[in-house]
Amino acid sequence: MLLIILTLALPAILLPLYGAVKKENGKERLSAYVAIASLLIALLEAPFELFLGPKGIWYYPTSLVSFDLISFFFSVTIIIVSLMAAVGSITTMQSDRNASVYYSLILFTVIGMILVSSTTDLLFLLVSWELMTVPTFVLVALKKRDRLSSEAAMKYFLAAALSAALILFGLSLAYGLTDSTSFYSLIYAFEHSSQSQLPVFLLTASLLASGFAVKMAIAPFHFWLPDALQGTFPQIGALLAAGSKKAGFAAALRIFVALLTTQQFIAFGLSWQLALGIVAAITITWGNLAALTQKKVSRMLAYSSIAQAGYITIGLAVQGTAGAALGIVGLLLHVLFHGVMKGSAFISIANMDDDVGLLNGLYKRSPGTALGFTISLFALAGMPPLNGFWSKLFLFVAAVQANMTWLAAIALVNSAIALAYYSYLAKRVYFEQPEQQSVQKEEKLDVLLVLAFAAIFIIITGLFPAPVLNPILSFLGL
Amino acid sequence: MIFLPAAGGIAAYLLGRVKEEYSRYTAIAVSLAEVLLTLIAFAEVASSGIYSFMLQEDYTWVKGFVDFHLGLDGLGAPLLIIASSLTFLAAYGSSLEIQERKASYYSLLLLFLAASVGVFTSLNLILFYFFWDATLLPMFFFIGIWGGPNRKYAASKFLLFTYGGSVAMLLGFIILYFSVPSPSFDFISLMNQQVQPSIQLLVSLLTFIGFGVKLPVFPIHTWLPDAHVEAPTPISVLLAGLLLKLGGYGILRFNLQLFSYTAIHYALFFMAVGLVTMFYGAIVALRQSDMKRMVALTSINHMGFVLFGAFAGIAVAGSAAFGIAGSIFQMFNHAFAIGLMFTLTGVVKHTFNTRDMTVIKGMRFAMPRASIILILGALAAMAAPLYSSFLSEFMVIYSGILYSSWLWIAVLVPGITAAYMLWMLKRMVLSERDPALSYSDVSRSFAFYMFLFLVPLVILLVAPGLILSPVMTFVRSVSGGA
Repeated sequence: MLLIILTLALPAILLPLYGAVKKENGKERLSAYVAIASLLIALLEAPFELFLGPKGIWYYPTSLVSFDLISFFFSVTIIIVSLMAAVGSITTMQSDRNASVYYSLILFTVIGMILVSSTTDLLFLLVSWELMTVPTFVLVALKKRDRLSSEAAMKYFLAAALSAALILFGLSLAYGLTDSTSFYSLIYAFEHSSQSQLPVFLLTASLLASGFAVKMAIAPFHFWLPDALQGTFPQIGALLAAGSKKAGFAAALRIFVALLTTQQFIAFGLSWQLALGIVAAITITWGNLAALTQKKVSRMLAYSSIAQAGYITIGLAVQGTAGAALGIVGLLLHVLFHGVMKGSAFISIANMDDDVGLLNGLYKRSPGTALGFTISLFALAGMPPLNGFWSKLFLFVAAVQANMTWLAAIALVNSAIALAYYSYLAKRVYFEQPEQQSVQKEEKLDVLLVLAFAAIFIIITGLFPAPVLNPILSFLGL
Repeated sequence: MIFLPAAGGIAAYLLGRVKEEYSRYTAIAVSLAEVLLTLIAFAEVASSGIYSFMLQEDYTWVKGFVDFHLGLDGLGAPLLIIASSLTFLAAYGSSLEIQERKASYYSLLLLFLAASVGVFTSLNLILFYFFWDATLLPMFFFIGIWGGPNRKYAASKFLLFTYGGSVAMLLGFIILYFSVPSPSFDFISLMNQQVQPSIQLLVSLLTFIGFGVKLPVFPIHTWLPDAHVEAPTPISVLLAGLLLKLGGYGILRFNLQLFSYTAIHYALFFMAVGLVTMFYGAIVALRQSDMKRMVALTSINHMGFVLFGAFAGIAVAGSAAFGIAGSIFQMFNHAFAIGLMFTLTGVVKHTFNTRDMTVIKGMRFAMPRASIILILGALAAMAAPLYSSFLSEFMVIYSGILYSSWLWIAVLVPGITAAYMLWMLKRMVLSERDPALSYSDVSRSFAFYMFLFLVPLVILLVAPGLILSPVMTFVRSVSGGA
């Protein structure tokens, strides 16, 4: 754990210094390479950390962090997505004076996300949460003379502040109840609480849940995402939609699953699975229907990622039922797979126009981008033989196993709705003839590299999901 | 068998980047090799004489859930031959219409073949679904890139209709998984397990939506005429000859074989849908002026026979040999007859620059060779006793009459078909010479190529046992040895 953090933190601290002291321009690429190298090293370290650490997925030590299967999966996802973002911005940032700061901020937010997904303490969670969020404000606002970018940053800032405030309030209530800030003592106290304390516990839980939900962009807390993603660099959009949105799920998985499956809570008789299932269904449907009418690729993808967050919520909703194990498999798988495909879909915007109308005939102008973009679109739709099929399959199977067939049915119908707008984009790219005013954009090689990696990853894990699945299955003892 | 065309598809693309024509040669060579492979596999199944899944291959794909389990029986084997030989014919006949982006075209063609072979041989439900949906994307691009003026609409409509059906099917599979005593996606294991009748009915209906869209059955057929009219000729051949067979295969494999309880008790429902589809296809075809749309609707009409025959066969003891066997036989015959008709439509469009049957006149003067083939092909499509399509339609209708004597009305369908086919001939071929037309016949080699479609139909009229003997092992197993 410490190793990964150090690998990322050292360059993150040193890069801005380098940017401040260097005299001549044109050395911006160096900071990109340093950031990419440290991310790659961190990626290689992750498996060692996992095997050195405790076995099993739930582990509540007295320490602040625990690097278990959940943290491993989220960390790997986050590192891969940020690698894609970092590689994809080499050309965009190569003449920007702030390049070293840019990469340093990416590294900081990655550290924050990894800590959020592995912490077991509420106070530490809040600190990591801020570490994850604050750098992204700056990243979103980086194009500071661009009106849209500033507006995006403002909205994002307000939403994030709201989320942090909710978590903080939940945290203070939890501390008052338990004299401690660790997850473990919160759950322990809950298990042994008296009947009169229950409402306060419920309030704590719902404050924390709302705080996470803002970050996860689950309906009705999703409003900020499309604006934020439209205004910023596509690479940062990828990082937000595919990476940091996911960290909220790790935290939710860690606290709530244990909290809500305690005997106390079950005795309370709330069917929270049903509630979460309904939230999931609304989020999926809302995201997909809203995506249908968007005129900007980035907004469409943002709404689609709201819908995908709904799919991931299915994995939470089946906890405490027969479908729990498969739900975790589907959730973790979808986090990783969706991270890669959404990341690549977003980053391809860097090589084309954001306007849906200007996508016409993209295959002629930029064949590589067109192919990579289309592959990630169909992967998002869950079409075999691409990998999105598997993660969605596990989530659907889990929902049926949890006796929530209606949820699986809604989610499946939504897959068909989603295919409508994904195939609409693919139709623009491949079937329409290019229009006159669409300008020839040069295909950036670094973006193509990212797309090629993502396409290979999507197809290989689509055809052979076992290498990714087997570790999860064996950890779960399936 | 799946691997060969899949690898060939990638090879075709890479070679096509070097020189466009290479990709075509690769596609022809690979699909021809696939024809040989499927013929060998068919012979293996045919020579065994007992019903079982032959040539099984079983690998762990996703531990504990999905095995890469393949196998072939008397139902899949004839359809495999259709898949490979029609892809070969389509690849060979593509040179006329496909002028741009050849490398992508031929590689998608082979990938489509790989996915279809996968559908016909999968013995695992998730694997089946995997291949099933994998056929959609190549077809979406075929129609959308190489299609006619209204291709974008047709391609999207096709994709959304069939994918909508697919998700219903997937939901059915997942429900089925949890409603058997020992949950499994494996087909053979599911065959040996009992399911509650009500759940079986539900799953059967859900999967029927998925297969019915592809077959297609009335009223979820509306994507088909559009897709056909817009698709380029070789793709129409594949669409009618192969894609619709995927639906027919699914219905026979799942709705008939796996959900046999529902099949026997609710046969009337399926027969009614089939009968409506037959009449609908025939009557609507009657009043088309676009030749291709008419042929496409003939497909709907013919595929209705498949549905009708299969369930008439299971409903009446003793008629399975006619009904079920007839419906499989019908799929086989339809693939070649309609494939030829679509090719001819392409020729007509190429020569006259229109497919309007009210405009084209005096074909026999302008294109004598094509006219002869057209007459022969129309006879095959209307199931004249010159071809095996006569046998299969006869078998299906006979089994219907065994079910209930008033089902003699099914005879009207081939009657209507014959009427509009003959009317088409009268208008286009046997009409007055059109002075504006100059002699512009197809080449000898192309006429020979078109004649190849008819060869299986003639052979099978004389020796239907070639196909029917392995089919009968399947029929006997489904109908309990009747």
